[in-house]
Formats: sequence, C-alpha cells, structure tokens
Amino acid sequence: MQTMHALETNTTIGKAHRGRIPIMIRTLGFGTFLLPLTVFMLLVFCVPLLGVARASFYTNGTWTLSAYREFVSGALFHRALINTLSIGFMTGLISVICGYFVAYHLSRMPQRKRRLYIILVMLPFWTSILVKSFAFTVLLGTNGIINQALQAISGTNVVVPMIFNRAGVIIGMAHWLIPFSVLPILSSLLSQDKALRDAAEVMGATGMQVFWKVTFPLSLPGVLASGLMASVIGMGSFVTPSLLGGRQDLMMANLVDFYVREALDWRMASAIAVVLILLALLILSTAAFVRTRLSR
Amino acid sequence: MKKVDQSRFLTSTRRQVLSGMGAGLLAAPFVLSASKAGAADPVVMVTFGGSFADVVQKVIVDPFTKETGIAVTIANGPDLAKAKAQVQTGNLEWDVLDGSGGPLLNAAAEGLFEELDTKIIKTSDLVARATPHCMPFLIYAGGIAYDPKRTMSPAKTFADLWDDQKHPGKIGLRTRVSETLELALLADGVSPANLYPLDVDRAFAALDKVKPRVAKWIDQTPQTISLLTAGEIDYSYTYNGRVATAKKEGLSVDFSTDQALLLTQYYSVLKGSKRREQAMRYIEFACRPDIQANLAKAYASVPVRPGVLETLPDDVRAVLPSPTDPKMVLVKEEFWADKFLQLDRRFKEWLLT
Repeated sequence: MQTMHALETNTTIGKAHRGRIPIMIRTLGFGTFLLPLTVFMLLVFCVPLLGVARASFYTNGTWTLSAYREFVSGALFHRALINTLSIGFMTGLISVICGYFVAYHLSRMPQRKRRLYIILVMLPFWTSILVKSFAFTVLLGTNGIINQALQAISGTNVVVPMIFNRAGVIIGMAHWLIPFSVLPILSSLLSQDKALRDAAEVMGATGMQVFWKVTFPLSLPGVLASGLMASVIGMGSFVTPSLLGGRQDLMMANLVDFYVREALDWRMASAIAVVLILLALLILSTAAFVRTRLSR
Repeated sequence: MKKVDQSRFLTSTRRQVLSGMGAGLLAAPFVLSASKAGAADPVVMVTFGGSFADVVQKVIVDPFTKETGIAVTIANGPDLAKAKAQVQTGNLEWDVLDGSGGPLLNAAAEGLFEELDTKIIKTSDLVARATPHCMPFLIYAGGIAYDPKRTMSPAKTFADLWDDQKHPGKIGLRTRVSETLELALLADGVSPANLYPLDVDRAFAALDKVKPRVAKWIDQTPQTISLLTAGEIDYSYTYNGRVATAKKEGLSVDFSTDQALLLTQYYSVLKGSKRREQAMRYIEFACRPDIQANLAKAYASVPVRPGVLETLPDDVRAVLPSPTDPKMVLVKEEFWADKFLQLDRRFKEWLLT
C-alpha cells in the first residue's frame, strides 16, 4: 500500500486528479495502454512481413533457397546492393549536414517564429515527386537555370551535369529527407540546458568553442538518429532514382518494384526485400550500440 | 479491498472487449464477401485513368450498356501485381484487365487469365494477333518525337536517329527491353519483315553505338514528353497518343509517322471471374468494326479489324501509322512471352555497365 501511495504522489497525473485515471494506471500499469497498438502492429505489420519472408523461401509448394542463390550469384543484384548502400549513406550524410544548419537556426528563434518556419521546412515533404522532378529539371538541367547562370558568369559553354546521374539522385533525395533530419536534431538542440552554454561563455570560450565543445557533442545523439533515419528511408526509395538518376543508379527497391509488378516473381521480390530489411536492421542496431556507447 | 474488486471488473471488461474485437475481426471477411454478389453486378474493367478512360467510357462502355443492358464500371490502374493478388486469394475486384507488352504475356503464362471464349469473340480476322488469353482491342504507335522549332531536319526513322553525323542530338530511350531491342535492330538496318525472331546480340551491339548519346533512360512515361519540351533531350522515344495530348496543350512536339513500332493493347478476363460471360461479350463488342472506327476517331488509335482503317475520314488517317506500310513493325508479343524476364535481366545489367 505504501508503494502504491508513493506512485500516486509521484506521477503528475496522480497529482492532477486523484480520481479514476490513477487507479486504472495503478491496477493495469502503463504498458496496458500499449496493448491495442501492439496488437495492431502485429496484425498489420509483423504478420504480413513474415508472409514476405515466407514468400522468399516458398514457391509452388516447395521450400527453396533459389532466390537467395540468384541474389548472391547475380551481378545485377550486387550492383544494386552497392548503389543502395552508397546512395543511402550519401543521402544521410548530406541531409544531416544541411539539416543541422536549419535545425541550429531554428533552435535560436523565438518559439512563435519557429513554429511558422517548421511548416516551411516540411513543405518539400508534401510535394509530389513527379512535380519536383520537373522542377529539378528546370533548375539543374543542361539548359537549366543554374547552368545558364554559370555560363553567363564564366562566359563559356560550361555545363555541369547535375541531373540524370548520381548527383541528381542525391540532390533529389536529400531535398525530400532534410525535413526528416531537421526534427531530431532540433529536438536535441532544444533540450540542451542553456546554462551550459552560458557557463562556457563565462569561462571565456569563444562562440566557436562553445559550439564545438558544448552544443555539438550534446547534439550528437540527435545527429546520429537523423542521419540513420534519412539513410534508411533513402535506401528504400525507387521513384526519385528512376526520375532523377542515370542508367547506373538502379537501387534494390527498383528491383523489388520490377519483380512485384512486371515480372510477377514474388519469390525474387521478397528475397530482395528481406535482404533490404536485414540491411536496415543491421545498420540500426549497430547505431543503437554506438549510441549507448556515446551517451555513457 | 474494494480496489481489488474494481480491478477485476476492469480486466473482465477488457477481456470482453478484446474477445468482441476478435470475433469482429474473424467475421469481417464473411461480411465483406457476403456483400460481393455474383453475375448481376456490373462488369468491372480496369484501365488507365484520365482522358483515355473518358474515351473508353463514351466510345465502348456506354453503347455496350445501351445494347446489352450489362453495366460496366471502370476502375483505375491496371496493376498486374494487384491482379495476381486477386486471383491468388480468389477475391476478385476486377473482371476485365486492359494491358500490354511483355509483362502481360508473362502474366498470362502465370495463369492469371481465363481463356478467351471463341464462341463469343472472333479471335481471327485481326490486324494484330490474339493469344489464347489476350484479345487485341487497340493498336498504338511508339516512335520518334522531336521539337519542330528546335530540330530543323529531324531524324524520322530509327536508322536516322542512330546517324549522329546527320542528326546529332541527345536521345531519350525507355528502360524497358521490349520495344528498345526492336528499335535498335531497325536502326541497325534489319528490314522490318525479317525482324523476328530478334537477333538479340546484334541488338545489344547496336545499342552500344547509341549509348553515349542517350541522356536519359526513361522509366516514367510522362518524362518522355517533359524532358523533350524542357530541352534536356532532342529526340524521345514516345507514343503517338502522348504527343497528340501534348500538342493539344500547345507544346511544340511532333511525332514521326515515317517509321514506328505498332504496339497492341489487350483485354483479358481475370481467372475465376463471376461475370466471365458478360466480360467476354464486352470484349467482343469493343472489337466490332463500328466501335473500332469510333475509337480511332476519338483516340487516334489504329483499328484492330482489317478494312476499318480504310473507312476512316482522311483527316483521321493522316495522323495514323498504317499497319500495311512496310516500314512499320507490329511488335510480336509472342516473341517476348517466354523471353521477357531473361532479356530484361540482360538489359538491366547492360545499363549498369
């Protein structure tokens, strides 16, 4: 009874209204409220995912590893795997670098202004990729605004290829994923105690020193989280590479799309998807490990 | 101890709620399938949305319903993966599927479609070729598009297109292996009459020659027009219908009717359709000469029944490629039926290197 009483006074809800709600929390525990969501996720996410895994082994009534054997032996899949990893990594890196500037700027704004600017940050996220690809062609193309400006400034016929190659894919993907990377960094910047920076300044640190010795190290978990999120989401995309990429920018998700919708070979599609998921899990768990090391 | 009682009360309701939810979930499929009735419901035909669906509604569906009393609903997005899922689970949303190319024939080989009922549909006497499961109802053209304002003496045949001395410029080709191999062989000088079976090695060698000039291998069809009008490419492999639409919007694009690939669009009936017979009757109706003539007038397609083209007014015939023109090639889907996957793989690997 004593512990229960302690619990009640410790929880803010208990303090707010000593009525039915704290009793429910005491008797059922907070975990209970996660149950509907857990069941939902099990039914609509985990079960179908297991179905995908099964489809990669089971075709026409027999269990076989043929899809994975094909994956291991096929040059097409190796190239796609390398592309997926390198495009995902580059996208994550660039999104984080750009996102950090945006997040830092946002974190130094008054709250009301910040709310408005966050909406602006989210805008590219709500725009259709087909429309954006058209806009990128106008901007980055050989006859695009940037190349025309470069030609006018330099007085030469210089053309910097920025689209329908790897650069185009990464620009397009980073544009889409920067909103994802801003938010975790912003939240880790906002949760920092201003007193720490004040203390550093009082001790005679310059602005740069405050940033590199206090602000940046403290924001590292947010940086890591946002970089990972951008990379992993980037690794699963296929429309942006097919619209803005060159012939060598085929990704694993493009192959999944092809085997699902055109080849109707769901065994191969599932196998590629399983490899992609395992890859994402591997990266995420490595990062979780690094993160616990960092925060120690 | 009053609290304990209360907790018991709470858990028991929770259990009740959960078991109720479980029963509901288990019952859901029956409720859903019960609402799906049989033959009296409209035939669902899945096709490509937008202006094409409007044309089909007006030219085929409305007169069909008027004559037979059979209602037809048009659905959007003929995705073969969805068709496969429907046939596999036996939970059909669609009856008739509108499709084309190697993937469709590949799907037919997977057993997704009913055999055409030759008692209802006349599968002979066609400009294109019917397969046991797929009935041609429309022929369109794939060929060279260019901007007449920018390109003064454009390449009008595939051989011209490959000639970068006379017709320099950047090219947009498709990422699909069918059509691309055909046009490469035609460019390399193979005569249309001897095109099939395709000399695959020669086709890839011909593609090697043009590879450096291809600025974009296009996956998404809208880009075949948008990259041309944005000036990123000078020549685009695209379709006559797309060019006609772009022209109507006032864009400066022309389609060469000197040489083109003729591509067939098919109707197929999904396996296990409850409205199989009505679906077959719909297909039969769509291929009647008078309906084919109306379709050609509304959509600039080539009629699938021989003799219909000749009955069309001159202004319609002027923009239509003629299947009897020896420079035209009717793409032979049978060639692709069993080679599509293997050649697509080789093409993808070729693109990556």
